[in-house]
Amino acid sequence: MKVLIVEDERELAKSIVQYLRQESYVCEVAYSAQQATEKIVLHDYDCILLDINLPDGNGLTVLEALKIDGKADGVIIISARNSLDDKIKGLNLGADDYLVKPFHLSELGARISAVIRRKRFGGNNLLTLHELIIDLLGKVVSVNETLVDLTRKEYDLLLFLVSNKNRVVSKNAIAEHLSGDVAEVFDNFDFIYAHMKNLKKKLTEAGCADYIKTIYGLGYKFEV
Amino acid sequence: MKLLKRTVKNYILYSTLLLVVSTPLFYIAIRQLFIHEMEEELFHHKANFNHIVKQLETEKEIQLFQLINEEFKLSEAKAWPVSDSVYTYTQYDSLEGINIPFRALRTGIQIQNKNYELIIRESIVGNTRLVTAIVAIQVVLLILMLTGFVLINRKLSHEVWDPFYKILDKLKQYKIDEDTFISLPHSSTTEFRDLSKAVVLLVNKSRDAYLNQKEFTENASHELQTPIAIFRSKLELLIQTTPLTKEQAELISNLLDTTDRIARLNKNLLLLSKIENRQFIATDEVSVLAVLNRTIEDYQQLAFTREINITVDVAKDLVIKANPILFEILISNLISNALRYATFKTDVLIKIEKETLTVLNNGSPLKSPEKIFNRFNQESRSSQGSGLGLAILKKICEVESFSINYYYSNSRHHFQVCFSANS
Repeated sequence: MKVLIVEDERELAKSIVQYLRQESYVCEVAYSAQQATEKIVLHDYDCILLDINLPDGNGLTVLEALKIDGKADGVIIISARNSLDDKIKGLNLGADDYLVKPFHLSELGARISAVIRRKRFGGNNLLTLHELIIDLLGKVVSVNETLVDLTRKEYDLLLFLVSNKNRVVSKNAIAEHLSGDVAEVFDNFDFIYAHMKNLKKKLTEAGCADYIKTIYGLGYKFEV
Repeated sequence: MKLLKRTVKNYILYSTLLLVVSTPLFYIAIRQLFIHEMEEELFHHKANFNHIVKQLETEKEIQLFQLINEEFKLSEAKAWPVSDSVYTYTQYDSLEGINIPFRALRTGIQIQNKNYELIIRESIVGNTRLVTAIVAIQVVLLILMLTGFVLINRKLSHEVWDPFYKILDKLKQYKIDEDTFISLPHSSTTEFRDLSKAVVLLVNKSRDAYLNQKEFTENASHELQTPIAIFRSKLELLIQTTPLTKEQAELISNLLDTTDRIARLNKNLLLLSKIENRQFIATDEVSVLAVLNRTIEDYQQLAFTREINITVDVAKDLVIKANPILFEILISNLISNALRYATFKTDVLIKIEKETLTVLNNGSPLKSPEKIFNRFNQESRSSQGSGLGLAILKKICEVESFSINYYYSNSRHHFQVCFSANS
């Protein structure tokens, strides 16, 4: 799967590339709107990460160019400006998601995989990992064709880990992902431990292998 | 004290002083003048009498003359010659029932070789009457002068001072975070023109400084977002490396927590300056209860881990006009604040009564509650908070024209938001 990263901050672009490569994405980087436009014309991407504050203009022009070309690439806008106007404008121009800096790489990973799944598989979307099957549309999980009764938070947690499978996801990223947009996150991760305990228990009881590894006090890793 | 009042007060003082000093002076001067005139009159009478007396021949005629002219009193001289003397005396007037002062001239006169003593008298005005008259005139004069002065001054203050009061009004109304420019009325008076210029200059300078500072906060926060993003991303890459020892994991975990704090602080600073810059303007009808329920759900897990029970006491939902984003932040900050500072295993109570929303939580009293809404107030700040939550709360209330109150009673902190000012 090909991902284009349009980001003028080289270090940030480098981090994103490094993180996404672990999930076997093929990444290309454009440091300006012009470079991005050129690449878009030549190649098709599964997902484009688009910073809208670029040295040679607003990243939204890239989005417009994409729309004119009639390309169906999934676009996630990444911006330092948490501006509602930009968000609405971007989504109206056909962007699929909007992420505000500073984001967690695992959050970005989850968003990218969601966009790609939507673009590639449309509505009928089952995510299969050995005995574990996640129905993304119905938001239900089954192990060996037996439904596992998960709460909304437990489902979100599982999907978040699976979207970043084989990578360590910090508890900080999980806390931010699970708390709403508005909710202020506390430096208190007890609720994650509680959710995680319940999730693991439910999965193993249903006969699922223990894929979720605890990485000291730091975070978790879904290993397959 | 008003300008007019101050001038009039000084003027009254001066006038009163003048009245007190001038009254005796007037009295002495007028009295002196009177007596002088009177003496001339008496001597004039004497010359007249001498002239007339030559026509009188018999004793009878003299007596008749005396009866007609009361001011003359002729009697036989006890000694001769009689020297001229002028003196004052009083006589009781039974008719008017008062003592009447007289000025008299005693002189000697010879009629048909007989020596007579002649007293010519003229009544003079009484001292008290004179003083009363003078004071009365002075007082009337003073009143007339003061009324005139006040009236003239009032008219002047309306005309001449008008630009001054207009400038004052404009300054009172001017809000540095709202108005773009201050416009002052033009005046033909040089002083007021100068004042206008000075005021405009000062206001514009302050406005520039204010805008610069506002812009700086917003820009600085924006600029910080990218480095924080880079820093966080590198940490996230670092945790992917192997082998990862427990010691390293702990250190990275601490770094991630700190990054969260920086990110949160920066986010709140940015939010605060955005609210100040009025970037949330669109308003909509918002159901307080709906937002409340949504927010409580977001915090339910946190409340659960702290064994805090959130109780909502609502008789009737409240629908208000507000910016939906700001309103959600308002409710979220109220609840998160209550949860953060509530004692473990207690209740957080949320009440809607009429137009007010009250959030109560247990806790020990604050040392300086008046500073509770200040930014980075040390007392109301825990290691977890950004120190901006309540400042944001206050700012939102300002922008939405809600009123917010904090008070402490029954060992509970009360935060009360009143929406009525808004609707």
